Amino acid sequence: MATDVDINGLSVELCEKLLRDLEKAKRPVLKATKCSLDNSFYNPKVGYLTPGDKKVLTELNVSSVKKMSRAIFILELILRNLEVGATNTKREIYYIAKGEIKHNSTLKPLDFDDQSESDEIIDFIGEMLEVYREDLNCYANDRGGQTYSQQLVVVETMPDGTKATIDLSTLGTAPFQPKNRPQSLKLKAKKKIDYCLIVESEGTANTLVNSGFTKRNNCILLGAQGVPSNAVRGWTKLIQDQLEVPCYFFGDLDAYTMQNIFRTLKAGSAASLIRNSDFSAPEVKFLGVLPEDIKKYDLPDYGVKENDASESRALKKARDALANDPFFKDKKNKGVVDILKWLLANKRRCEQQSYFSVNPRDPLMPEKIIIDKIKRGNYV
Amino acid sequence: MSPFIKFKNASKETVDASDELVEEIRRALIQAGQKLSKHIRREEKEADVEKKLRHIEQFAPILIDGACRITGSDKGRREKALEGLAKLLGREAQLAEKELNEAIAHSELAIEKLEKTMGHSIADLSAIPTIEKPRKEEDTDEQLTLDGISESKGKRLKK
Repeated sequence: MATDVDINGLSVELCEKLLRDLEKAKRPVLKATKCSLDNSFYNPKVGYLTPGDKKVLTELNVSSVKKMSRAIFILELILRNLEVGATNTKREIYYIAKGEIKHNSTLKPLDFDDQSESDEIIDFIGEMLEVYREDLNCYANDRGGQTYSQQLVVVETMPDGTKATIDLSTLGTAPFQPKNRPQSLKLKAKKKIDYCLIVESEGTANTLVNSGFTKRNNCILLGAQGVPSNAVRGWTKLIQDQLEVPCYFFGDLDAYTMQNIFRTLKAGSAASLIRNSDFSAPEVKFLGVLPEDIKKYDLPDYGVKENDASESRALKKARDALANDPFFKDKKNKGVVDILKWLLANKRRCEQQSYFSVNPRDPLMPEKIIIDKIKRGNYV
Repeated sequence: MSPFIKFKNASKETVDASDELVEEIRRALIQAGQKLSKHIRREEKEADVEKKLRHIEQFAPILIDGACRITGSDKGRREKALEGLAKLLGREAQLAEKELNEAIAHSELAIEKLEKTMGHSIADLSAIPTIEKPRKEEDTDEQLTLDGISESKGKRLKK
């Protein structure tokens, strides 16, 4: 993990080069990794999307001078934060920048109209230095990933070097919330853990826990809360690598889940190419809902509304993904591709909660189906 | 063609509205238009270059100051970087000037080529199609006054 990156050293080097070029009356150029699908590569042995050689070059000229000045300005704020050990969200950095500009009239031309402008600069700095935003002490809100287990123990190294030990079995009904900096966590199992179940819907994850899923099974159960956040991605990777337990993803059967949620959890995304190595879990399997489950369990599914803008967009994106996404183009992921093709051909979808319809009088039925599927290897 | 302006009377209040004179005026206007257009283009380009240079000048010192603070560079280095930037901007202005001159030369060449293919000068009197051919003096009895208002002989006589 990119914990040992010397941000200060990299920044000084970058600014030194910029000044040297200007002294020689040469246009300075800032180089950043191109984070897009056309610069993404997927090697099944590696398991996640990696960046290619393409770089975005920003040369000093009329159209780039503002962006370059803003980048150096924000970089200075970040370095100040790192020096004093302060952490901030992107929104806070936006306001810190606004405050600096307000109190220094010479900086007025750099003023940001809205947060998206400063966010873009923070991302640009990350891509330039090839570091995670967490390395820049810029954290996102820890969304999703609420984890329950009776066997898991987490040892967290605090910023001051002290260690905190969290035994998840002692938290009662409260979940453990993973942080966006998984590198500071060490995992231990009190007893053998059989698997980790990642549930797309946090509500369903809570329902399973309330019905005693984690008491009856030696497992880790976590709610992804939709598209996995960096915290969920890093946390799943940590569980996969440190505990070496099989990870299963339980989510809806629809194009959006397959290409946005599951793909991001398993192989990362094109937008976060430089962090996919630590924020993707290539071993995670898709447990369901599988197309064959609809017939097997007589699940209530329904047709995709093609006149619904978001649903038709998801289908169009699915077609594009099959044609252009290196993850879906690789034969290792044939199972996932087949599901996507099935979705495109049949234009049907089925939600994870439909398992609750199988025998409504038996609250444990979804758990039974999940365990049965894991035992029989009925996953992709 | 005579270099002297033909007047209708001794008081020199009215210019003779001959075909030849009307076409001369048209040609002069076309040439003036071409020169004006060239002048406006140059002005616009110059204003554009000026605007771009001002934009860079506004941000570059902030960029240099930030980089100097991060690297812990002294004032001397800052000045040197600013000098380098000024050179860059000078080159930019020269480049823009060169581009402008090239564009003008290119448009003149295009006019020449067009003239060659047409077989006459764009501003050539006889070749320019007239929207409405001025009627002959003897037919119309019309004259041009110095202030550009045409008046008929009859009116003048009345006057």
